[in-house]
Amino acid sequence: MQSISKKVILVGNFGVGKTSLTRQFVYQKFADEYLTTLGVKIDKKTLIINEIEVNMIIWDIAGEVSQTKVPKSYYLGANGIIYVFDLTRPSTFKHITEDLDYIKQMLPNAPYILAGNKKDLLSEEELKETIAQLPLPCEYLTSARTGEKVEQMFDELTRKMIGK
Amino acid sequence: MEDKVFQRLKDILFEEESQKRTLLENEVASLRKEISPAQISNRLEPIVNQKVEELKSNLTALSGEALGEAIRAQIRNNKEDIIDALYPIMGSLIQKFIQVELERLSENINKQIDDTFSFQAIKREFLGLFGVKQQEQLMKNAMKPEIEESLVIYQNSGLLIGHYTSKDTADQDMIAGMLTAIKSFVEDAFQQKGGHLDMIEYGTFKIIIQNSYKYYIVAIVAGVVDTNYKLKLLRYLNLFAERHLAKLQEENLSEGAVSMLLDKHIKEFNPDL
Repeated sequence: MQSISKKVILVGNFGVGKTSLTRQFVYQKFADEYLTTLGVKIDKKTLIINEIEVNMIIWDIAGEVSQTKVPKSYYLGANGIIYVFDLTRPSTFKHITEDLDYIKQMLPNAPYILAGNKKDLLSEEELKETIAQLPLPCEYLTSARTGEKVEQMFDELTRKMIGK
Repeated sequence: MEDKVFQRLKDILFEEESQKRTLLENEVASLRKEISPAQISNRLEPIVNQKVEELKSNLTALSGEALGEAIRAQIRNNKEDIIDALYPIMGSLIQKFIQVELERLSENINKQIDDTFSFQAIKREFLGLFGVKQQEQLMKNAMKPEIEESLVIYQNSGLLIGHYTSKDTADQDMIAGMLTAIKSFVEDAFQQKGGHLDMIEYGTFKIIIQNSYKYYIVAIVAGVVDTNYKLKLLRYLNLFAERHLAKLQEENLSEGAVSMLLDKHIKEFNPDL
């Protein structure tokens, strides 16, 4: 079986649930307590897609997208990007467009996914209101707590990365 | 009749004393009353209470200062006593560390001695003929550095291209990622063009890093690493990079192929050559 490694980066503001999404995807676990990520945390999960073994090396980058606060080198060589924001905090999706422009400038060929996390904290009505406020259409409304859409999101990104 | 006269005379003669005595008796009675336990208690209680309150409020400051000064004086004047007191705690830790290290050293030397007919033993005997002491050779070999892991990593992404390991421990993909993150962080933080992180020390391990254009090679070494060993290893890894990694894309080598090459070369590395 062919085996390849792909680097995936999770970016977004602090407290949006990047670490929780990774934890849910890799270990199928969720913890209520919030521990801020220092620098970067690396995890690994292997997926098999169309007879290809894909080793996903997930870089969970600490809470900022800004040009000064995150070493540029953390982004380099990434094969896929997940931009995470918190559906309950508008400040976390206010700058999506600028942030994505900044990332795309460094990684023009890497596919990306927008993920609105913490869906479980909103009612249907609130969710509709929030979606209306988003500056860009969001493909994945996830919940790291319940696991909703987490696996599918990583799966789709993997397929985009290997072109399947 | 005589008694009456005598009494009258006595009254006249002792009238003044009698008055003084009555006064004194009254005085004593009054004093007795004043110093009765109930009266003393009533009078002393407010004074004692006041003093107790004063002490309470000043106790922390007084005791802190006094204790601090007492400890300083104790350290100044009785250094040996302090060492004696701390020794059971610190000493046992140091003792344990030295014991473990000596056991390891002893095991290594025993292993070498047991191997009587090995090439190394014959070499020791031979060098002994020229005045090189066997003990020195045994010590040198016992503390010899050993490459436990080696990784070839993409400079940019931190993805692993190949690895060698003598003990299967942690996941090499994750080690490669974390090392790249640390390396990137240090190099970004100091922003020195051309500067590279080339060594990390962790416990008894040295993580030696050889940077090349697109890749970097990491060797995790246990044992005593001196400058000479480090330079020879860096040169050797650089040679490996030039010979095999420069043409990696052209030759389209898989991770398995790079790992095999690395395994072969790391096992062949001899710092004495």
